[in-house]
Amino acid sequence: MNATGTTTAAPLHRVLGQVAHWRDRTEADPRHDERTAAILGLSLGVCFTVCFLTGLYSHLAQHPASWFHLPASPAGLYRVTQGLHVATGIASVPLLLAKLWAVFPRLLAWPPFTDVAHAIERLALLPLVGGALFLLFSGVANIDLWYPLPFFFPTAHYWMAWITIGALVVHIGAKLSVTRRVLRTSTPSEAGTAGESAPGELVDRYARRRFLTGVGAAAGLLTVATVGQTIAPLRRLALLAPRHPDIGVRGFPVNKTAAEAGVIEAAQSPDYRLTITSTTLDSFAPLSFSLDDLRAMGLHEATLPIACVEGWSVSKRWRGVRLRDLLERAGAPAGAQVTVSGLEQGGLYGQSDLDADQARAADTLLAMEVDGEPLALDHGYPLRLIAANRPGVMQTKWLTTIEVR
Amino acid sequence: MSPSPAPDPTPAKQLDVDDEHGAGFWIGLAIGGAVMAYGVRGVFMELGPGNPFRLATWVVGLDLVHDLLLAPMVVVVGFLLARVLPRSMRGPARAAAALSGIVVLFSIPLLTAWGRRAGNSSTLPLDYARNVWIVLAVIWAGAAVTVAVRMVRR
Repeated sequence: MNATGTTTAAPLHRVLGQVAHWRDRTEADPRHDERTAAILGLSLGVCFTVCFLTGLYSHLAQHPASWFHLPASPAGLYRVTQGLHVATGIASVPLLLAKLWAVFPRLLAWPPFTDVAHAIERLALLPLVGGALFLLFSGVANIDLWYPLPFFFPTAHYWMAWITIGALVVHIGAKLSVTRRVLRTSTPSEAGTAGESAPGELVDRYARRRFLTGVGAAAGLLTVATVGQTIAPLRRLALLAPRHPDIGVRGFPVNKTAAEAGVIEAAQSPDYRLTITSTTLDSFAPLSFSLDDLRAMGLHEATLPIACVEGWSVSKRWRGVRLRDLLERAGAPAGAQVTVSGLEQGGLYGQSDLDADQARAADTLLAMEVDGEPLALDHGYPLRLIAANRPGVMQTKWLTTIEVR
Repeated sequence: MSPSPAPDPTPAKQLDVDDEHGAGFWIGLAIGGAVMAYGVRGVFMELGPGNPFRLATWVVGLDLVHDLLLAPMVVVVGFLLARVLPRSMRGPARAAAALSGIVVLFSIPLLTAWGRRAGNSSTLPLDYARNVWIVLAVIWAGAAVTVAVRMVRR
């Protein structure tokens, strides 16, 4: 390298010279050109949009807004949206790394910007790239039950998603015309690069195609190795899944155990009662039920998935008392909303809400059995909520109180 | 020191040739900027005192880890592989190396099993070391087959 630096700055200068040399060499490399960047960018744009929308749905499911309420059917909707959220996020890992590698020479462009608009465009890359890396890193860590962040994961993941999507909109605005230009034509020469011979174009096209095939293979490989945690026929291929739908107490996963929730004794107490009560309705007379009382009301069966926010899901045959039968017995008004609470004290997920539709749905059960066996302690014995289309953390376990509003 | 690291007498060609910062860019900036502002507001209102700064540190930190560590490492490894390998193996070997790197990176929390919890047999329940070896074997078998097919065809 004939670097122009003085002798004192020589080592740094030599490195910078090498970097610039590498950057300039990539100019002729189709794996680093605008067309490759556009194709990968488009794929990532689709993936991040899917992740954003399914994530938004999951957030609304757990924090209902006044204008939103969870549909009671189809029963497997949350299983699909959340499975898609996690699978798309995992597939985005190789896509994002490939995209960043493809455009890495541009990071080293000199001068860094040419005018104000260009400076703004490049500044918005920090929240875009940093945000995308953060979302994928924190999401993967979370499904692996690893919590390295010094703050609450769902809040950070949720708000960072808004920041990243905003930065993506800025990026799309800046890149829309160049993306359309390089994708409209099938070969570089048609795009206006004059004087290129046909063999050169072919070499370009095959180099790019091989690179993109490799990226697709990486995304496919990670998907196949993990998606069996929610898609039953692919279970045996789920080599890198953090959960396996067939492994756990009574053959399916447990999020929080009875020991972790501190409910082992209370859940097995002979004095166990389920209370239905209301603090807001004046004329409501509280009722209390033993397990035998509940069984005497008649048990119903429903096949419903339990779908965790972390992306695994499994369908099970549940048996229990219908919530609506209890509400009728207690004389709750037709439009009543319900909050169910369990034995767990102080946790974030010790209780959950049901709107009037969900509370009255025929499939909304206070389950006592699963797949013909009594509920295991870790799965919420003696009584857990199971209803259609709810995130797993809202299928409250170890139920003791039903509050009517 | 000279501002340009380029050794070339001619200045580095602008790779970012798109100078079309037209209406589309400013509309995108207005909408995207508003969405970003909504996200930043949420971070400050809900993440807890001191945490917006910590979050920013993580975001910038991950960016720096990628730009200063991961990406240069990939470039250097790709360069070295290109040097030591014969031409017929270069492409498949580099692809297999890249895939292996991604699989191992993705599997770090599985291999270390940081999230496994005593008393809960369903957390990280598989033999991930064995499984990562299986996936790597599939990748390199694929690369070997590709090389073999190319040699036969030639």
